[in-house]
Amino acid sequence: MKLKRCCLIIVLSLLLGGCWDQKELNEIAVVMGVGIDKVEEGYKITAQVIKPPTKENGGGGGSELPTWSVTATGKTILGAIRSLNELSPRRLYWAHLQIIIFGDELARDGITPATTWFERDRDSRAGALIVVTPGTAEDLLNSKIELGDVPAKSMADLIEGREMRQISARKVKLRDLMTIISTPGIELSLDVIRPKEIRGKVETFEINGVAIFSKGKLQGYIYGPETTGTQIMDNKLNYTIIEGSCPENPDEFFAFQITGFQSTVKPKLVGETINVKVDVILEGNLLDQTCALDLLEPKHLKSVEKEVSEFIKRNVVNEFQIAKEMNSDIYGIGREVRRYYPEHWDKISNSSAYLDQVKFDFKVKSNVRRSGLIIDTTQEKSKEVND
Amino acid sequence: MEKIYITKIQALMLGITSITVTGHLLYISVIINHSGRDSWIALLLAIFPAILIGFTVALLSQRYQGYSLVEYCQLILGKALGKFVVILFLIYFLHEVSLSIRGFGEFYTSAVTLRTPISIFLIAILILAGYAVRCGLEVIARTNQTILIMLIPIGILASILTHKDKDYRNFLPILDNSMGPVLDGTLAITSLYSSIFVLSMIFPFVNSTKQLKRYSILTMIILIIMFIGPVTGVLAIYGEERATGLYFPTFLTLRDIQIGALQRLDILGILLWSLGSFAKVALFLYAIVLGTGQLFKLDDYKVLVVPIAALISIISIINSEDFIGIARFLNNYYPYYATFVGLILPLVLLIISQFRKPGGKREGRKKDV
Repeated sequence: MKLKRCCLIIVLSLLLGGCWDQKELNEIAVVMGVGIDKVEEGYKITAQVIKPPTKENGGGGGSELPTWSVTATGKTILGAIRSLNELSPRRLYWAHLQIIIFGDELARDGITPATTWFERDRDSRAGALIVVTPGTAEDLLNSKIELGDVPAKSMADLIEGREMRQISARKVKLRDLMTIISTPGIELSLDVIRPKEIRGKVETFEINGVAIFSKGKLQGYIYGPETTGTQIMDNKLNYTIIEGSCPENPDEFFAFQITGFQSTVKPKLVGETINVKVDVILEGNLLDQTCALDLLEPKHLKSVEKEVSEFIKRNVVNEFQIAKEMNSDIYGIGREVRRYYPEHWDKISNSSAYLDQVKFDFKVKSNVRRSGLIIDTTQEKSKEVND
Repeated sequence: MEKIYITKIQALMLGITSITVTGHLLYISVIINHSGRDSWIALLLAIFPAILIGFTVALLSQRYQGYSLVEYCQLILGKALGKFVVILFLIYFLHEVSLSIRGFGEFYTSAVTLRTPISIFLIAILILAGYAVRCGLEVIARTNQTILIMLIPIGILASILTHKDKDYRNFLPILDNSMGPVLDGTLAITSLYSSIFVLSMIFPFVNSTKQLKRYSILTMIILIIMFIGPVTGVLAIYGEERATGLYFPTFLTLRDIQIGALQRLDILGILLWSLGSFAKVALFLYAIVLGTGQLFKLDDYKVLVVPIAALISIISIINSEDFIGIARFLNNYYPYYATFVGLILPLVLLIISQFRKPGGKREGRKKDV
C-alpha cells in the first residue's frame, strides 16, 4: 500500500511541470489585425498587436497609439509569421484576429495562396473579416486615426456595424471566402477600405467600393451606387438609404430608408439564354425630400415606388455589366444555374462566356410604409403660406 | 461471473454515445466525402441497414438469453470455428476502439493543444476508462447515462446556433451524380452503425430482454436523427466543395458560431467529444476484456484491464504514422471492413442459428451464474 502511494506521488509530481501548451497572458501579444502585401521575396505581413498598458500611462490614453504594428517578410505566410516572432518580444497570439487586409498587388496576384495558413491554423477564427485596400495593407494598418484606438478594431467595427450605419458593406468573413472560392459558378467580391484624408492628413478610414475577383485574382474596383447590386441579389440590402429624384422635378431628390427587404433569385433557362428572375419585396420609410411636394399623395407615392424599383434594377444590371467585363460572376448566377439546370451547367462551365447569355427579369414590389413623425413637410407648409 | 444488472435503456444509451461520438467527430467528413451534397439521402437510406443491425443484435441476444457474444458464437458455430469468429470480433472491437481514441487524440493535437504529445491523451483516457471498467458495468452504464443527458442538449443547441449561417439551397441539384455516391455514403454510415454490435457483450446483463428488438430498432432510428443535424449543417454552411476535405467539419462549425457576444463555443465540442470518448472507450474496453476472459475461461476478467488498455494505446499509435493515414483508412477501407464484421457476420450467425434451432440447446441460462 505504501509503495502504491509512493508511486502515485511520483507520478503526480511529474505533472507539476505544467502543460505543453500553456499561454501566459503576459507572454503573448494579441494580434487584432493583419495586413498582407506582396514583395519580391514573397509575402510581407504586418501584424497589429495591442500594447499592454504600462505603469505610467496605465489605461490613460494619450496621443500615442496603444497598438504596435510589426512587419516581416517570408516566402510563405507562416514563414513571415516566424520572422515576426523573431522581432516581437512577446509571442503573437492569433485567436482574436478581427480583420485580414490584402494589399492591391497581392490581391491581383491571387489571394488564395495567402489564406491557407489562416484556414489551417487552429487559433485563427474563420470569423475574421477579409478586405482589400487599393494601396498597401501596411500603410493602411499604420495610419493614425482620430476616433478609436486600435485601427484594426475600428475597421472591423466599421464593417460589422453596417446595418446600424445604413451603409452597404459586404462583410465577407474567412469562412465565406473559403466557401465562395471553392464553389464553382460564383466569384468573390470584397469590401474596399482605404485611409481617408480629411484636411490634408489621414484621419479615418473609408469603406467604399467593391473589389471584383475572378478565380481568386483581383480584377478591378467598382465605386458608387452600383455596389449595392450584390446585396440586392444576396438578400442583404436592409437599412440602406435609396435616393431617387422627385416626381415632376428630376433635379430634386428624396431619400428612402429600407426597413424590410426580401429578394429571391431564380434562373430560368430559355434555349441558351439564362433568364434570371429577381423578385424583390421591400418596404421602408420616406424620411427625407428636397422637393416641396406631398410625396405621400397616392399618385406621387406611385412614382416614388417606381423610382425605388428603378434604383434596384439599374444597380443590379450595372454592377453585373461592370463585373462581366472583368469576367467575374459576382452574383453567383452560374451557381444558381448549376442548382437548377445541372446538365446545362456542365456545358457552359468551362468559361465565363455564359455571362453574355444572362438576362434579368425583375419584379419589384416596393411599399412606403411610414414617413417618420411628420406627414407634411415644413417646406411644403411654407409654400402653402406663400401662395 | 458477477451479478450485475443494467436496464435495456442504459445498455442502448451506451451504444448511442459510442456511435455518435466517433461519428460526429471523425466520420461526418467520410460521409460527406462519399456522397457530397446528397449525404442526407444517404443518411435516410441508411435507416434500412441500421434497423437490420439493431434487429440482428437484439434477436441474437434474445435467442441466447444470458449468453454473451463470445458464448453464443461457440454455441452456434461449434467450438473451433466459434472461437475463430470470436477472435475476429474481438480484434474488430480492439481496432475500432484504437481508431476512435487515435481520432480523439489527433483531434486534440491538431485542433486544441498543438504541442502536447498525443500519447498523453491516449493514456489519460485509457486510465479513466480502465478505472471505470474495473468498477464494473453498472458504473459505466450510469456514468454514460449522465453524460448522454448532458450531451444531447449541447448537440441540439449547436444545431440551432449555427442555423443563421445555413443555406439549404446548397443541397441543389439533388442526385446530380446519380445513385452511386449516395450508396457509397449509405455503406459508410452502415459501417459506422455496425459497431453497435459491441452491445451483444453487455446484453446478457440486461435485467429483461422483453421488447429488446423494439427498443434497439428505436435506438437506431434515434441515431439516424442524431446525425441529421451535423451532416446537413456542415453541407449547408460550407457548400459541397468546401465541406469535403475538412478533418473535423463539425468542430469547425461549432468554432465559428458567432452570435453577438456568444462566440468561440468550441469548448462545448471539446467537452462533448471528451466525455463521449470516455464512454465509448470504457464500453469497448469492457467488451474486449470480458470477451477475452470468457474466451479463455478466466475467473476474473479484471486482471486483463491493464494489459489490454496498454495494448489499445500501442495499437492506436501503430495504426498509422500520420493522421492522413487514419483519415484515408476510414474513407477507403473502413466502410467495407466494418460492415463485414459488424453486420454481415452477425447476420450469418443469425441465419445459422435459425437452422440449428431444433437441435441446438438454446434454453435460457440462469442469470446469476
